[in-house]
Amino acid sequence: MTDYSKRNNPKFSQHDFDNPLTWLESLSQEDLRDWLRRALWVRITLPLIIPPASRIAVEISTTLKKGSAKLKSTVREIVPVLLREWGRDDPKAVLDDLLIISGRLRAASSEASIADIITRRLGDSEDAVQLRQRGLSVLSGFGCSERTAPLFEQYLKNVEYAAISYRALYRYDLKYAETRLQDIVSIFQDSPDELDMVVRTLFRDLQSPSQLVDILVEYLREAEPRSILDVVEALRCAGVFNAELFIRAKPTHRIKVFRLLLERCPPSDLQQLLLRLKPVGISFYSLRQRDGTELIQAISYDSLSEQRISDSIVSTHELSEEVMEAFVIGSEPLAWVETISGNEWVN
Amino acid sequence: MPPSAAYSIWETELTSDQFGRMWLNKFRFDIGHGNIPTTMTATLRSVLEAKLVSIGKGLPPLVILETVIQENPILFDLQGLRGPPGNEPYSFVIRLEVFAYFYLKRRVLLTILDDDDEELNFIWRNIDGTITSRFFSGKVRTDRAFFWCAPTKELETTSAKYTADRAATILRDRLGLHLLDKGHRLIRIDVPVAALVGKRLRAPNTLDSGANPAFVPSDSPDGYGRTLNLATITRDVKEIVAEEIPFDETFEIHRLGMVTSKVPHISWLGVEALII
Repeated sequence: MTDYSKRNNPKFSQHDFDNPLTWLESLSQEDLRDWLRRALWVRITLPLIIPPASRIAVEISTTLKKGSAKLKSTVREIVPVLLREWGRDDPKAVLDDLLIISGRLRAASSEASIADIITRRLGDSEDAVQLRQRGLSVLSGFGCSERTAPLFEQYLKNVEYAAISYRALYRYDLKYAETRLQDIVSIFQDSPDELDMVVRTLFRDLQSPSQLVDILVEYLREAEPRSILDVVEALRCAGVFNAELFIRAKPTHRIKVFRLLLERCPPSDLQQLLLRLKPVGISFYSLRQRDGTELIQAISYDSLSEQRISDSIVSTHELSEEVMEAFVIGSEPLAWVETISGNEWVN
Repeated sequence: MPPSAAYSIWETELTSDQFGRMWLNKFRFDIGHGNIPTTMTATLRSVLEAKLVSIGKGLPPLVILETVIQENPILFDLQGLRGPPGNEPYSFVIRLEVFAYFYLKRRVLLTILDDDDEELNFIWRNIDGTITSRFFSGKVRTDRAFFWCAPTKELETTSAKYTADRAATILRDRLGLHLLDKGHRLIRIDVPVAALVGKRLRAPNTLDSGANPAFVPSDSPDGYGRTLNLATITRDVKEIVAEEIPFDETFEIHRLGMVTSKVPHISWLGVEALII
């Protein structure tokens, strides 16, 4: 471990305590590198003072983010050098802080160094796992690329890194959101809080409701049936699986979602699922057939803005000849129907 | 033994500027009022003398001082002789960014750091909501292995009196959170009493404060230190420093609010006057 305390530190005056950014702007690249080394390895940041409510990495990155383009550019050149200097015997906090600064300053030239550290220079201790999580999230922030996609794929199946890797991959190519959602659901099946957070994050990252509907269609095609209820519930609790979403989606797409839901959800979960959707404005209409079986025939979406639309999801030729009654699942019958006219639902 | 020539030069340089002089006066205040052992003067001097032999020339005296404090936590951290009575509930206040990066489970509440405003907004909006205590994980500490806190009831009283943002601004000033400027979002974390059982709790002293000029030592007989009120330049809220503890789901967090004004102009002469 190098003793950075002996390195030179440029002079500063009391005035610089009030405005450390101006002082930092005045430093040469070499002096700035020495100052950063001292700040991270020796924990001496003067003339930047770290209030007790903050931490070195946060204060340094916040200060530098306010700096000139030239200062930020210089820091982006320095950070990969410092990352390469970090050795296994150096304190873990140094690397953690370097990663935070690297990410917040968008020092994308650190990508190769960070990837190297993640894959080769960290062990499997609890600290190492946390550092790898930090490193992956920084790489994700730079944007997943052809170079880093294999790295995220590699970590996608490990519960410690799955959520970070999933997000990096679908931000790179939205196809991953569809094709890997089932993997994520399986990984977090015993941790509903975390699954809920992953799903919320996914929705936050999507550009439009139709993207989520498309993802749902692909997910439901491949889903492990027993996990469907959990995923829909997570989406519902996140406030994204509701009538509003489907009103804004293309009719053909939303019909696909519900057809797949009805086909693939295990019968034991189906009734519960339908009941849970009613409070978010999605109601199912069944037809009771003469033989006593029920056939879900239509769905209505009631949004908070009082917009209401309905879809018929079973065409008349799929129905048995004699339709007897219709009712809202889990509630009193809303209406009796005598006939079905084409695909239009009569209410 | 008389001090070495190098030490004398260092001390002369230290006291040639206001912050260096303030630091030494605060340290002497601590010694003179029994806040730290009298032997600490000799200890600090001997460590400094050893460092001055090995360290390069031209380093600012405050940097050398901070270096020896940082490098010797066993000698200099939490060495206060005074401590608070009883088991009072304590809280501490941190920036949103610190909470996001150091107090949450990293594996799901990842923060994409380059566009972190959106991420931080999400966390801010969901404190007390989606971000439940199940996501708490980390260590309560600063960049040293202890943290600063104040009795919960003192912070609650201020929060109860004002709107959220106003309370955050007033607490910034009352807690002496120098450099937390307009726009910073603050979070209060309540420490469960059980988490501090068996831990060292001390009235903070000048060695704990490092080079932070917005710290004033206190000799209050109640065993607490006092924050520096940035607006009035007086000693204000009771405070202590406590040994590092794990952060887990037994803690409670509260969104305080956003600081809405700049840090007040601080009369450092006024601060100096408090310790003479």
